[in-house]
Amino acid sequence: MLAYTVRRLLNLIPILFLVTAFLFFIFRFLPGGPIEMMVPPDEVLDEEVRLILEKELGLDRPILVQYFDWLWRALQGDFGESIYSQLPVGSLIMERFPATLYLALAAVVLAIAVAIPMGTIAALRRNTMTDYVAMGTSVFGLTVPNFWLALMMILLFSLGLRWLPSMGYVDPTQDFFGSLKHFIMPAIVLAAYPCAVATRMTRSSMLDELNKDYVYTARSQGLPEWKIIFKYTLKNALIPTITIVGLLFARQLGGTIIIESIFGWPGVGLLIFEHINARDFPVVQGAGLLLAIFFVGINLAVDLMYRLVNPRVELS
Amino acid sequence: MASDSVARDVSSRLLNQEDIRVEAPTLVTRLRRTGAYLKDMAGELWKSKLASCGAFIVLVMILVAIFADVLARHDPFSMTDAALAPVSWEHWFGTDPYGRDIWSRVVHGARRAMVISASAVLLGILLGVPLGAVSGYYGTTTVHVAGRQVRVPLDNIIMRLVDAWLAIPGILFFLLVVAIFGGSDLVLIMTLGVAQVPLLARLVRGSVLSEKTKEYVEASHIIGDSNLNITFRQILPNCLSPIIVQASVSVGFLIIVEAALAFLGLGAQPPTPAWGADLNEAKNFMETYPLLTIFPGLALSLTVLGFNLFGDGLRDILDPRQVEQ
Amino acid sequence: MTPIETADATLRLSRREFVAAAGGGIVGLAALGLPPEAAQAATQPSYGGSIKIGLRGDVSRLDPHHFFPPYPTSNALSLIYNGLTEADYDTNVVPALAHAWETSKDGLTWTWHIRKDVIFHNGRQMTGADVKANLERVLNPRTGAVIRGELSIIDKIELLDDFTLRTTLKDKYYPLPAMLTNRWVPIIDPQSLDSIKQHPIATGPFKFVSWKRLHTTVMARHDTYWEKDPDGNALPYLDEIIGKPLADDTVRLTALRTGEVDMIDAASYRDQARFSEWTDTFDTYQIKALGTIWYYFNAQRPPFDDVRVRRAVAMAVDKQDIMRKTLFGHGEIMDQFYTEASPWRLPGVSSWEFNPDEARRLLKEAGVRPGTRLTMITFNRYNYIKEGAQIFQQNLRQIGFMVNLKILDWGQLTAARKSREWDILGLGSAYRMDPHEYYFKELSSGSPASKQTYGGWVNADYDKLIAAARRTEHKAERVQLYAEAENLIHAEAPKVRTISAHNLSAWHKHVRAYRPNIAGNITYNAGGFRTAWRSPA
Repeated sequence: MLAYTVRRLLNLIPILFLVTAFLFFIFRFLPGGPIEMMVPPDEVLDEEVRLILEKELGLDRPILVQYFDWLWRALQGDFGESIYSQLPVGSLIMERFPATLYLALAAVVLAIAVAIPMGTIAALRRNTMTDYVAMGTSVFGLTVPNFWLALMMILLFSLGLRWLPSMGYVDPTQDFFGSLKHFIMPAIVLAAYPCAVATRMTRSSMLDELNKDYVYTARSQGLPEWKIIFKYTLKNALIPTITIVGLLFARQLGGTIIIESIFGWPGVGLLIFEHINARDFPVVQGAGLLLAIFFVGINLAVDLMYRLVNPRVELS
Repeated sequence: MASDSVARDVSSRLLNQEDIRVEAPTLVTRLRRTGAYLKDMAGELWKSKLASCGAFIVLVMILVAIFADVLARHDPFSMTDAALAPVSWEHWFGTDPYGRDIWSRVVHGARRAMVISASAVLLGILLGVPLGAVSGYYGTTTVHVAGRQVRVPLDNIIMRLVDAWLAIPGILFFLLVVAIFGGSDLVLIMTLGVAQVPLLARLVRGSVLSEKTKEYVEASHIIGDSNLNITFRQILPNCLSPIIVQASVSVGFLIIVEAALAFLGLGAQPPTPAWGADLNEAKNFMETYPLLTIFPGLALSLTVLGFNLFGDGLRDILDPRQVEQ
Repeated sequence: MTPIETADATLRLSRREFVAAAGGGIVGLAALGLPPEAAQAATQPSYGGSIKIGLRGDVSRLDPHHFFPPYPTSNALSLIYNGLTEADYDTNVVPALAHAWETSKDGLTWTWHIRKDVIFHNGRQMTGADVKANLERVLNPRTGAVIRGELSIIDKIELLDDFTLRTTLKDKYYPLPAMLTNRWVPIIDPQSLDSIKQHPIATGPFKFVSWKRLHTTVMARHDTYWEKDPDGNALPYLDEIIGKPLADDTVRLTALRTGEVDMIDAASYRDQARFSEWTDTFDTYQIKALGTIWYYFNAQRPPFDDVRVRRAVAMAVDKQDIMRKTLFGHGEIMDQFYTEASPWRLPGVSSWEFNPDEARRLLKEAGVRPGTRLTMITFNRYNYIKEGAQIFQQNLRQIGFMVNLKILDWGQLTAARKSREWDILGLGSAYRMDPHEYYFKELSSGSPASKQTYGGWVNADYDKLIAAARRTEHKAERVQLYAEAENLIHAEAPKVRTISAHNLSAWHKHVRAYRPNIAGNITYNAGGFRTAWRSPA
């Protein structure tokens, strides 16, 4: 297990190296280059000013030197300064990362809390009305585009019923109950897809488990049905569900851009979106790298946990 | 079940027929084999209510996309003075703020959505399947460079690339590429397609790994078939099922992604009839003319629903693990 | 950040509209424009309170001289700055940190008398030396100030005494006071430059507290601010202003309606009429000198290097239709740069009538074949700009052009404009305090921007008129010169104007005595948030 973990960790090095290279070099395809983007669109930059800026931003050095310089600094936690706002990239990101993280967490918790009971019940009451309703709901979650769902919810709950605020964010570590009403809509919208996936996953792995020999044996020995389900099948059936939810959680961190822009959520997604528009590459590189690190980190954690719970899993 | 029967069929032929070495499968036999396979699948599909429902939606949407010009009763671009007209016989879905016919725009939007996402998935398959197959089959391979033997961990290299690819959040990748290379249809197809590669490569690699150990592959080795031949002519056809399932689900998924990008103002731009872009414009009328948000939204959801049901149905049929259901 | 967002402007509510509103006969536009003072005249301002404002743009950066100045229309941070001069309600240039100035007979020497009662946010008194340091900083190419090109007309800056400054110009340049407003040269504490990127120190009515990018800007009352209300009481009244950037029209309006913010700087045009139902909840103000939407033709390549083609297209654009469908009538049809409300509205400017038949005839005469392909580029951020472009695209189709419309984000648009690979550029220009800012920069062949980012039209007569206007002291004479220039633009059609939008600014009734100026500035001489107060709950 230890050897496996170490090997997986070592594997992360080339992965993250490739990610940084992608994030860094894609900006070099920009027509006009980053300096053009510092200037209001209807202004023309003097050649004199351009040279000064190029030097100041280090853009006059060879591209590889720039890349390794950025990488070296990034390794030390220095992501440079935003070209547009002149703020340090590290603090720009860290200021906003909690909001994204909490939202993704809220969505995942919500997804699990709904999906596991729903999937289990659907499996137990297979091919009944309950099953159809549960599966129908989950198909809804899979197919409804989340931005559309968000718009509809705002229309209904903010503008129509006036129950929930349409935007805004309260830090849950400072005012937990005050923050709840801000979290409800974005979390539901964000949870819809993972919840649907997890419900279906729970149902199908539950069905798999229920068909296994040990269940027949247990039944024949007269064990009560609830005991079989809660003590044995559910435990086994949840492994794939938790795995998939973990992976979706990692994806979630990067996938909140649209939701953040609709709900005015001060997260990393909106930060990235706005800075891609402004071609502010230090910010996009830094935030992109952070999301990538989280993604591979969670992936690894999920894999390790999966292996811990289920030692039969083959090591690839 | 279907895949198993095909696999059994192929392996038994390989093992029992002496002439297999000299006679590569001709086009006719391959077509016949594929035809039988598809017929098999269609039959299975028909048994599942949901899957056939999905197949029906997909079929309708494909027809709508093909015959968009006939079905659209107006030019989707032409503006009239009848702005924001309600549903009527003349305008089945009403008109938008410029007096354009929403029905015609939704119909043309279907064509756009189908063409872009299907092409992207196709591109993803063309790139991802060989990559995964090579990775899975060859593992570590030996090449001769300047007279010396060099061991190349092909599998490792490809898989690390795929991991890195997957580690870049999808939406970030799309935003970056579209922002930098522009949102033309070609760029969209390439971007969405390329983004499908890692998933497909992984999927195929997994299937190839498990197929590799089967008897018919060993048999081919003994017969002396080339590695390339074995990979692409014998193993891959047996990994078709997960690819087809994934492709179906991916088309649905990419339709959402394409719409989401257009909704963010990237990709399709007005006046192009595109569901996402139309929704973006409609959102400003959400309260006053909710009709505008409903029809493109419904079309989008319905299409995605169709592909998902279809994909699910296929999975039920093709994935032997779930045959009991 | 962009032309429209940064508009300043003109037009006091006209008597006609006021009478109509007071008579109660008309709902809609007139009622919307009802000045809040009328309803609130009886109450006395009270100190204290906090107000949240939702603006279209975020603060761009804290150093106000570095590229994106904090435009007082859409940037919350403009509340912390003053300039030597500033706009008043009607966008006339009035004294601010300089309480007076004189010009020598030859027009080259300008003497500025600096106020002695100005205290920086850190408690230090501002002197002439600080102003001099600011001007020098703006003129330094390292700073990257947008206005540097215009101000390089300044030859020498001398300090006559602690509170008197003399600038000597290389040539006559009467727009100078308009170029030294808080919009272009905000005065900051030159001794606090080390912290300028994190914490700017200036002299405005509010002082900087904190900024979270794309989220909130917090500003607190500057207790020793120099401006006083008519009764001699200290300004401002409010304790705190919190700025919220809300770019999306729907999001911004929703935030106002649900009480997330107390005021928004613009409501989308399609929602403006709805405010007539909400007069109990909100006060509104219609900003009538926001800026002007136009289409430039790339005169550097065919087919628009031919004046007949430019004229034909100018006749093909259906301005009425654009106004009706994109602004829902909340705007003005434009044939010149300044709207009716502006003090620089030019008399006697000709206009193009919508005439597709004549346009087709002209095109035939110019030998342009039907089906000729054109590329039109425009910006994706403002609905009425991209919607208008779609209508124009349709108009062009009717006279035989196949237009490839590219709606681009800011970065793509900047690159595309400079690539010159376009035929039509659709965008708008913000309100300009002085016509020289507009007429020289966009259309004079002496301006690098004209060739590189606008149409690249060259006309020697036009250049002479604009140069002469800049060197003319009296406004009436300058107006004449600009009117001549405007008629030349009409005849040569290097561009066609379409509409000017009337932005609707709206706020909850507990925000008292607030009103943007005619160009939409949230801070201006003796107005905006400097004099606003919050009625105690």
